[in-house]
Amino acid sequence: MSGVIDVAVVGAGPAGLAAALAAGGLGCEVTLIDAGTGPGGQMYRPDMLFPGRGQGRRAADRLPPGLARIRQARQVRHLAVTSVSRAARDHGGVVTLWVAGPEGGAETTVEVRAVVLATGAAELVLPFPGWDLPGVTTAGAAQALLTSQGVTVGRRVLVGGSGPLLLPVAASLTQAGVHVVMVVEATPAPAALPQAAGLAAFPAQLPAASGHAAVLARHSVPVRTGYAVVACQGTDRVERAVIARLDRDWRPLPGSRYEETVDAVHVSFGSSPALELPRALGCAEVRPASRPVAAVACDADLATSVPGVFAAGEVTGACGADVAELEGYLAGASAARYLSRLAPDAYQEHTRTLRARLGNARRLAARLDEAYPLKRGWLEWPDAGTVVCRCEETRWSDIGAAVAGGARDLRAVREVTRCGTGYCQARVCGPALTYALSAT
Amino acid sequence: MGPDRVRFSFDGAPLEAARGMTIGGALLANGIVSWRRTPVTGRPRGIFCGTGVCFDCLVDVAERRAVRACLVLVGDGDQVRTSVSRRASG
Repeated sequence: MSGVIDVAVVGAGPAGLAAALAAGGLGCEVTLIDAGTGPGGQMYRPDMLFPGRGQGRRAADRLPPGLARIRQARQVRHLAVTSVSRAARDHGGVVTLWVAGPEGGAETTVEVRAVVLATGAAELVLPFPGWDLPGVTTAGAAQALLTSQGVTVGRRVLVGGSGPLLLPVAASLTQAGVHVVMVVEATPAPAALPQAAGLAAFPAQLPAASGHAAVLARHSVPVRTGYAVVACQGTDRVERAVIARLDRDWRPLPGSRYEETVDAVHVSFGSSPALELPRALGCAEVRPASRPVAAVACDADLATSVPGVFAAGEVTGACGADVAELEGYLAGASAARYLSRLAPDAYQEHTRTLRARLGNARRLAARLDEAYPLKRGWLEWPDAGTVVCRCEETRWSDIGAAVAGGARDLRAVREVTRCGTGYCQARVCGPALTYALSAT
Repeated sequence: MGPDRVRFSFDGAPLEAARGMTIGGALLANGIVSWRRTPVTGRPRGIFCGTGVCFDCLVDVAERRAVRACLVLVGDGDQVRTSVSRRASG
């Protein structure tokens, strides 16, 4: 392999783009690696059907102006439609990334002195009966299919779960002509909802939160808080959703269950950081008290526990595009300092304003995060036959048996069941199961 | 068929989609919600996460096995088939 380059940024969402721009702007040679067809990540997802066609409907137009500078950034080499499958750091501090296209195929390696991990997050879905039926998707999947391809999964749908994503997804589906029967938000905080959604995840792509609520009101889409889709039923696809009213701990209230006829259900319980690469590199993790989902631990300069490895955006547990972008600029500058492209004093000077803005953005985001705590009453939703691990089809009763046999964490459960050993390597069931197994 | 359309097939049935769609998007646009049977119980699966994380949407495209339908774009002449997946670990 010829030549070790300065910085690899993994992920081209707001955090990764900002990191690449910052490091590139400080004289680093940067390789930006992302699985998407263009820059933007999940947040500013390119419109795949209209690349460069008419009326300025270009994929790049979804990027806010600051991040769109990536198109002109000469120091940044962008590897699109590329995933990192493995990563390792040698004793000399050189990090090797193994990269390949979407269908696998021949891997090549990228060797770097510093890495910014901006791998974002997957959506957290808490398992419930029938969540594996076709037509049941994450809310993010529904959003992605609609924004990038103009495709909808169903015509009569429910949007459910908890968090700031539900209203915008329901609003955009409604505007696309989908009949959203209802939005069911498990958190019983009606007053907080529109305000909290105002800080939501898709500021540039969608109208403001009051806009989402207005769209839903105009189309008479009810938003019910303190309710959940606790089961889905059907043979070869979802045909009915079972809705229940919840107590404050998310336990279904007796006698409150009823069915709605639907052909799709879109669910989200917030995000779950994508930790495969940080784990491969040995980065320490944190589990915030408010959300029992692990994230990469970082210091004030976004350095992880591994020298030369930095992290920014949702992978650090950060919430929303604004925080992600600001963290990206900071992580990029921090990587440049690590590579001595920036003296410590100059780094402090360079990042002073940025730190202040990041502090403010984080305070807002934290308020939003705290508005949607996960509640353990969810553990009453699955039944014995509920598939927990979608890959290996491990059932709730198998998990129960493992726990009865003394298993107290994911690793122990994995040893006695096949849970988490399939294609996705526990990326879907792992966070939910870790939460279920946690003592609190 | 215009230049912005793609012809492909699913389990032998001829279909069309907009160029630029993923295989998953193209199947959904044709009203098809599942294209895989699970290895243990043979249950149907389609799109779940939509972002390449869950591997639920695996599909066979001619000789290419277990392709993630949510990531890979549909191409002219693609012969897409229901994937009866093997387990990842053998």
